[in-house]
Amino acid sequence: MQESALQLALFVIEEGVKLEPKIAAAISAMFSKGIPTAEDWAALRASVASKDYRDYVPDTQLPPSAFGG
Amino acid sequence: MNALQRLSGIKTHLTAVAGLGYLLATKVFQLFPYHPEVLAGLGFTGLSFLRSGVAKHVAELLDAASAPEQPQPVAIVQPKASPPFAGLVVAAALVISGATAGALLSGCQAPPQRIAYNEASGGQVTLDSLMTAWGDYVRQFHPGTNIEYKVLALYRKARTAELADIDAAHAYANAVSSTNGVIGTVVEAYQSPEGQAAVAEFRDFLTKIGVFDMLKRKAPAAPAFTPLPIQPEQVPPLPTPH
Repeated sequence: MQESALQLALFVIEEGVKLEPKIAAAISAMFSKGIPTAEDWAALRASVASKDYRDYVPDTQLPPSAFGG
Repeated sequence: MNALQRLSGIKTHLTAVAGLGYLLATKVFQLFPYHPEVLAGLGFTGLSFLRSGVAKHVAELLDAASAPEQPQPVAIVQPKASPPFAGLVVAAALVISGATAGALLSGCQAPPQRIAYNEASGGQVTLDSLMTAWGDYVRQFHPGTNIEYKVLALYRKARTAELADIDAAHAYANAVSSTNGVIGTVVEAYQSPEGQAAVAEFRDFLTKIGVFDMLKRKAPAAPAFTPLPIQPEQVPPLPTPH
């Protein structure tokens, strides 16, 4: 692994441990395959963006209009 | 000084060497008993030193980027290779210590929901664990739509900050791989105190309305220790005074 990639991976993982370990793990997995491509980053972003309140709270009492439905 | 040394510093290396020395002394030479807590402590200390090194490095980059009268390329990518031994020592010690610490923190046989809100109410706060705890709370206690609207707003705020962090990490990766990148701007964006603040605000709100207390009260308790009854015939008679 290039030094710049190692440096970036350390930085991102350290910050990720503080913020969101699962995202840090996903970024770390991307770097384990080499320098991530734009598509890799887009897929990671989509996986986070696709999560919805109702995925975590299936028993919610909020109406569909609260979610733009 | 190369980038790895600048990031980690001598204290991180010493912590990593101490961790490996402890492993050798306990596992290989068996000089004294092995305690995983010691390795976990060293791991956290090493991460803490590494974090200080990163903050210092970022501050240097920002200073370099904000000096208009002396425009010079930000040399984040050093051409010379780092000593492989130093990198291996740091990486191995942190990975081993981190794994040990993770095993200690995660609990051995706790159910997933309990792990989630133990993390959310205690040490490791993640948006995922907070929302898992909240979903469990709503299922059990039905707090009402007013409070759910408030949590929905906090969740959206934290998720937006998370997406911004991913975008900034992506931009930072591009900047590092390109010598013409505007490092200062990207690093400034990546630091994202908004992300930390959003998650902290969310956790404080759930704590304030008593979510974690209620969940802990409802969680299945560990079986209590029950002492064996002492049979009267097992108790030796008191000596009679002369």
